[in-house]
Amino acid sequence: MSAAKTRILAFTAGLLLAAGQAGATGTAANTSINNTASVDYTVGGVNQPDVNSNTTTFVTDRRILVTVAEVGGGYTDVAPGQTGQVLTFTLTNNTNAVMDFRLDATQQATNAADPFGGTDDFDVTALQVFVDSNGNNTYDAGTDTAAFIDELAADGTVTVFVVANIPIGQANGNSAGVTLTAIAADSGGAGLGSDSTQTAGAESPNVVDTVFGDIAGDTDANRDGRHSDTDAYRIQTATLSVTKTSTVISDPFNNTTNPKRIPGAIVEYCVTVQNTGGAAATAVVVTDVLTGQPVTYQAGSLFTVDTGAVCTGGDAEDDDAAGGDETDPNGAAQAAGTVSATFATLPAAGGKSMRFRVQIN
Amino acid sequence: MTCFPNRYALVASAAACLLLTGARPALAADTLELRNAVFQEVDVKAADGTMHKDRVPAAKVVPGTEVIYVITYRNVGKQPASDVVITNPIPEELAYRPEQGPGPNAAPEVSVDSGKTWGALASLSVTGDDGKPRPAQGSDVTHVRWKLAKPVKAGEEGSVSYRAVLE
Repeated sequence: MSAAKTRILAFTAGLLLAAGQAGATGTAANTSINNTASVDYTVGGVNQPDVNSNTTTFVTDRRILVTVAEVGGGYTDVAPGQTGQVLTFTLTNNTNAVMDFRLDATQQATNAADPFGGTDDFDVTALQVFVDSNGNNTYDAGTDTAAFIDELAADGTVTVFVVANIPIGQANGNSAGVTLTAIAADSGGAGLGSDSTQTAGAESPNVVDTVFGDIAGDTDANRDGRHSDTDAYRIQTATLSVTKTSTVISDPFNNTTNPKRIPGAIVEYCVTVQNTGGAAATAVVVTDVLTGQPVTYQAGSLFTVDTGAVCTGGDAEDDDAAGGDETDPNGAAQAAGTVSATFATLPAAGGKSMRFRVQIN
Repeated sequence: MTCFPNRYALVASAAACLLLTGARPALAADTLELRNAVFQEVDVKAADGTMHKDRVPAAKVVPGTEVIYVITYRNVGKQPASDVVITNPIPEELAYRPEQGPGPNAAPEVSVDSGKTWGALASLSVTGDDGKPRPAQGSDVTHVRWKLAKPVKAGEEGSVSYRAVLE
């Protein structure tokens, strides 16, 4: 409706506006459209009273149009074993009437194309759908509990969350797609109304008929009273590998010149950990048990390297003991023949190492 | 529907009664009779598989649907009616759809200011949301009227029509 027309009507018949307000979704269903024409004329040169026509009336019908849209335009990164992971969608009621919406979340079949260029690899568990109850667009467990949309006004938008658990044992980069479908349902009263149906057969000018006007979504057809869109979880986890190397430093006969691995020789071990995954690993504990091996740990030889999977430099362990007096950054220690270090964070594509020396018995 | 005076009668009913009373002998002074009807076009598939549009009474109308108002005039008097001007305020929820070329009986004029000024839609302007004038569009049209070029003779019948889209 034009601004100009609105203004004129506002002066003359403000009440009419409430009945026929047209938002983005258009004129509300069940609006009576009345129209009377008039004619002015003369007979024999004398102006005659205006004559009005009858008033034609029809009632606007309900055009059901719903739009589901994934929010974010990309994967939602998760780690194996996480619970309550959230995919976010919006649902917009483009119907020219208040509507309820039934919500259905369905997992994509394995190998189906996910919306972000990959293919579905696994299924999530404990799949649930919840409606944002407080409009903060954030899933609040225990607060957002409704599993359907009740009485959404024309032009109204609400956020819908798909919540699921991520099974353990999934490799980095694996994805799980979930399609959310909104099915238009008749409003009125508490609770979810029945799925809306198109008016079949002859229409009536004075009754609100229902017409499906929706477009096809990811898994639904044109004009079926529903709409769907797909979002996907993607595993972003750390993938760790550990490597141990040894270098002979000296022996009692050759000293440091071409030393050999003979009893009494000093050998440096280097244990490196590398993360080839897509997410940082935390609290990475590296342990090397020397007990039972014919070697003896050399006190004060323990270093940790934060700058990569390299076996030079690094930070010296202060006293070989664990405890609150630690000055090295990675809590390295040796106790009873077990050498260990704890790296607080091992970033994706990062590497760290610990190195120490032993004497061959 | 009865047309006895009824203080509970709705406005629409009262207007419809006007026509019926207008046809009564007691008020036969009216020379012209005016009827208004609203239609929509629906796609119909013929037996041979071809599609064509049928004009049916407007019933299944949702936002975006085009309706056609057909206003029929008839001279029920004994003398010709001259200077005939048929005026129709366009329902607020409808946007006037300009048609190519003049109508069958007379070129319509439109108004975007409730009938104060008239002209072809392309010649009219309204104040835009930004306060500046802009060319008028179909949704700005408040009234449409037809000035019949020739008098309507006794017994003669004709019609004018226009299309509008539910907003």
